[in-house]
Amino acid sequence: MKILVCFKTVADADRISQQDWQEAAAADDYEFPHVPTIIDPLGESALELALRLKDQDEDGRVHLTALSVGNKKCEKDLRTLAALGFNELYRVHSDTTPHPVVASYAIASFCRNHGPYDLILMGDKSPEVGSGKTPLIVSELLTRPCMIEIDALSLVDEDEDTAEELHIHVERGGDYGIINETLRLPLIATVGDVPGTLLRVPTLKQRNATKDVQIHMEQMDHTLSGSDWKEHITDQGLARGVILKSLTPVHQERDVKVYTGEDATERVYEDFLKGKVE
Amino acid sequence: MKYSLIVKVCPYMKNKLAKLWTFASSLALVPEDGTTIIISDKESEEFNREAIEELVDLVPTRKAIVLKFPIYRNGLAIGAITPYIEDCELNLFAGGVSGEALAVRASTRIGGCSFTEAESGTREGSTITIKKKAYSGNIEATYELVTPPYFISIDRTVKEAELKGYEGEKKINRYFMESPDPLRATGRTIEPREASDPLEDAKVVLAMGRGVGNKDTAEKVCDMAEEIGAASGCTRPVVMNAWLPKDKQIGVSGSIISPEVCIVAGAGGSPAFYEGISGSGTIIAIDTDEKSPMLKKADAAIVGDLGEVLPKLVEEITKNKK
Repeated sequence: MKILVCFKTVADADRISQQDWQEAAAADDYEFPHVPTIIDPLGESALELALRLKDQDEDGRVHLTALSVGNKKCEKDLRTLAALGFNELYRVHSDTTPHPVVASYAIASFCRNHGPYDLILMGDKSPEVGSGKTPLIVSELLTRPCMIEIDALSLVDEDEDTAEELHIHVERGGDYGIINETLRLPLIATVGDVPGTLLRVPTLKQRNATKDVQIHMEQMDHTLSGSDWKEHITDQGLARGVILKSLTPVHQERDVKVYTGEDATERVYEDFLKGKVE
Repeated sequence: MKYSLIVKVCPYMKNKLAKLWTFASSLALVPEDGTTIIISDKESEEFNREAIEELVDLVPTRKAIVLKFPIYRNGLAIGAITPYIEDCELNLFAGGVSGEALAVRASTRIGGCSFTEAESGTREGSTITIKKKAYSGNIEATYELVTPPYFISIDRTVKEAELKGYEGEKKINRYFMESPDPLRATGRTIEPREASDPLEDAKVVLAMGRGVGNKDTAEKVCDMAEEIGAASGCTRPVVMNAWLPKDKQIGVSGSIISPEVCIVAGAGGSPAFYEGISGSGTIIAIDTDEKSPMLKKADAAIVGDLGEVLPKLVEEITKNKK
């Protein structure tokens, strides 16, 4: 079973101050090159769910490939994934964060060149623009079904699969309860907020064992050659038909009154809560 | 402007249709030019049969189409709705993952442009201006959509209009789609979730962040919430550490709440979380770090350990209740 997990390396939003946002807005530059990076939170959960499938795999059926569309900063995360057991690591180079449509075409082209993949996993949305478009556009480009916000995956018994038809067991939250079902592959699945799916941490031994692992890098032009992505993206890197008019920092501060001392809770109650929590 | 409103049958479908109508009204769309498409399936009908008929009565547009599937898959829905939407200049999809999936996939298939989680919109001719939050809620982005057809899913934060139903003669068509499941699902079961009072309805909320430190303390804070008659909620890190269940999560990927009072303990105040509580009447924040952004986003801030401050605050509240 060939599984591809796509993720992004993003600036850690928890380390970006209000001033950073204001400076970014003034410069119209939201790359934050000096802020430490992390794997996009939902992509992290997708990676962990993929590793759990490998944990279940006693027969060597599962082959994991990790892909990131981005600059060299994602290589540290790809090395972590190698240490954790990913079999192949790829980066499609992009100097800056690509538009979701470009990323979608890059992923779809990558799959045509290196696949086919039985299962493609990615986070539902990234923390930047958060459009959630990438997995859906990839689904259309590859004409694969797409299942949104799954919570868990598990392998089916080997004798339920044939060479022609593989299956996977999926759990997700539906409108009326938790849905469990066995689905035919191939499939694209997105992962939302799933409790307890923070990515495991590799040991030093695991890191040393994979320190020379090769990260395959492709240039974006090469990956995208043959696709018609340019019909959908303007020279400014925006989706055709969509014009970005402004980006304005959101001010969330209130006129706060700070209380200290032994009687702080009494004073807060008197000033703000009396009559409201009875 | 010819348009469609698309909503999937679900427990909150009436609210979703009401929000769609708010958005449509903000774009000065008229009932006579619109078609409401209701997507249903066998499982939904088992839970919602009467509510679906009530929803049909409340459709605000002159035309309505009800499509019923044996099983809901977004790929099947796209194929079925395409003939009804491909000549509409604008297609509005109810908020949530289903609406987003349909909007983006329909746009990729048919052409035009898509937009997800639109929070507000205005229209001038065939140009639509949309606002939404970006970068985890730190930035408000304003876009112009200039090349129809448009496929827009709306955000959960859009307010609900009062739905009265189209007052003239409504044209309703119903179709049963005999489409086999492309995923050939087997062994499908649905386990109902334990019912819990929705955070959105609470008058007082006690929200905790990763400062609680562990599952035991998180559960103790939930007990304190109950003591003062508050609902308990939390930030994403608390859920991701599996200290509390997902239905307690507040923020852009959890509940958006507007209680009269929100007490926030041990949370750093990330914009993504704050987006969930910004509609609160009064915010009280408790944190050991006097530089915590959350303390600046509150009306009252107490600098201190939540393990010491929260019990005292709870005691003060319960003392005055008696």
